[in-house]
Amino acid sequence: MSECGELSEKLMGEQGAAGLGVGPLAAVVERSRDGIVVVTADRRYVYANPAACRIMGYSLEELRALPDFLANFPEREHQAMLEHFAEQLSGETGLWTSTLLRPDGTEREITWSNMSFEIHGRLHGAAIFRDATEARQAGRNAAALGQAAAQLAGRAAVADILGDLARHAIAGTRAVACAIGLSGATDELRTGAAVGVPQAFRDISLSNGLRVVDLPDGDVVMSNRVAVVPDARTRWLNGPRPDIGATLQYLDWQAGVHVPVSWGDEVLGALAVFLPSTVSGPTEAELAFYTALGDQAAVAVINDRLLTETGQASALQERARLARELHDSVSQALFSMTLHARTAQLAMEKQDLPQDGPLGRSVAQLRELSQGALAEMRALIFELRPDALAEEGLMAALRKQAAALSSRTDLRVTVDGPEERLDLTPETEEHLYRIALEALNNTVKHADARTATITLTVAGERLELAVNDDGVGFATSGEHPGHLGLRTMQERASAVGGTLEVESQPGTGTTVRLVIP
Amino acid sequence: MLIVEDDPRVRSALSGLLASEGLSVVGIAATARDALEVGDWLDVALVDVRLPDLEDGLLVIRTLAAEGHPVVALSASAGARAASLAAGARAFFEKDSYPDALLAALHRATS
Repeated sequence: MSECGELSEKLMGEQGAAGLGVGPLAAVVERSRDGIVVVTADRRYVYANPAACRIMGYSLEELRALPDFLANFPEREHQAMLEHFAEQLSGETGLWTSTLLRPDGTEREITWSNMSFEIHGRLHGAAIFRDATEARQAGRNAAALGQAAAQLAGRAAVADILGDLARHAIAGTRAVACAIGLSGATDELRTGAAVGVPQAFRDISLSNGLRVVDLPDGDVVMSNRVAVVPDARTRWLNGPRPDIGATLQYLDWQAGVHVPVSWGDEVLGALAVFLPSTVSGPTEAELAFYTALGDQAAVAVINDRLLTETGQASALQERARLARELHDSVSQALFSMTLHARTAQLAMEKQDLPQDGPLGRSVAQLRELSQGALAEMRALIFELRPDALAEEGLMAALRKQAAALSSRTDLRVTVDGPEERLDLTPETEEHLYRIALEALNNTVKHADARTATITLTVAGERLELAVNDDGVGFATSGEHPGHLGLRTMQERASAVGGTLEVESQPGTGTTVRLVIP
Repeated sequence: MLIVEDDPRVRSALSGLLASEGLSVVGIAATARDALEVGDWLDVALVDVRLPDLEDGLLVIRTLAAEGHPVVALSASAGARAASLAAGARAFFEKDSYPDALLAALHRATS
């Protein structure tokens, strides 16, 4: 029989005399999974069963050597323990929660009840307790997940949600740090959140081409499985991205857990947990919690994506609706006005009324204004309709914009190009259209030109788009107005495999020329 | 001449313009169904490609053209040009063009 057992038998002897039987009762106490301790009125241990010894982290001898049971509790608990103990000795009982302090400095949360009794006429206190650390942590973790879900419902920003998830990983487990990275349009991690990691890690990991597959066992994560990496710290240094691994050397850690942030088969990113060097790996509960956090991150990302798409779809629908309304109402009315104005002119001709008289000039002006308003309205409707360019084609789009610009400004814009629809991809048409509009926009803003011409020529595989004006021109070698728009045009030119050049000199007008290929 | 156009303002304006140009408007239809009913005895039809009771006015164009009637298509969308001509229209007029272009197209269609 163990030391604890001998003592329990000694203690149980009093009750054994009451007919309960020494052997069986001692066995119950000794085998109980709940901790049972007995202390004297001056707070010294006289007995602890094996479960109590295990939970408290002491042997019975060590417990009995302690001068005061308060040594088993963090200082913040002392006052409450003294009050409970005083009540206990006065005959009261209760059910409590407290925190134990183990000899290695770690803490365990317990739920316990107490009572008092006399042994050989001396007052003693007894407590029965159980370790509630995991259960309470699980409860807190569940609450954390619930909080994350509430954030989702509240449409918090993804970055904020990810930050909170990373904080939960540290607060709810033994992790010293946690980082969540999300892949951008390429496989490279572009956005995310990190808690507990060095600033250098944050700076490099999201801006220097790190991919999920570059993580230790990243291929496992990419196959949508959780990777527990006991030697993650070392493998970072010896892996494809030692530069990032080097930033983690100042952190006291060794094992890592890499959880895919995924939706269906799509791996959106990864959640990386860094465990302290004293820990060989995560517990089952921790692993489950990390996985749940990864799932929450995925939900946050997908939720945000759907909200964005929904918002965009709503905006597109609203634009299309507005375009239809404008077409059916204002545009038709303006078209009718142009017809009426021309009808009036024809009627005046028949009646030999002078076109240059007051009435003739007014009708001509009315016709010009209505024709200009119609052109502007058609251009506006065209811009509002999301599918207008794809539906009507590049040349029609350019002609609409040219007509609108001509009616709105003093610039006369002509379009010269094929009548038939060009065989271009929608993306190429979009880029060419935007390049031409940007060039025209620069002409209007900066060139002080009277005329501009958009010329589009196609010869075999070669396509050339030129926007020419007769404005003041500029020195292309220096800083000039519209240079930011020029950069955008050049990016668009690159996107369609073409080159864009600007030909201009002060006083000679400007030509923006795109050539594909 | 038959005008097939669902917007009453445009119908009225077209009628006035064509009348002043000496073109006789013998029928006005707001729907494709009406247009096809009066289509037997016209010499030329001016048809808005977008009509409310059918997918579009292409059916009217196709039907009238198949019966040998000259058709000029009318639309606010340049994207309708190719389909209109393929359906049998002899000319296509975009609604933001100058009215003279429409008159020229009608004269060509009837000549």
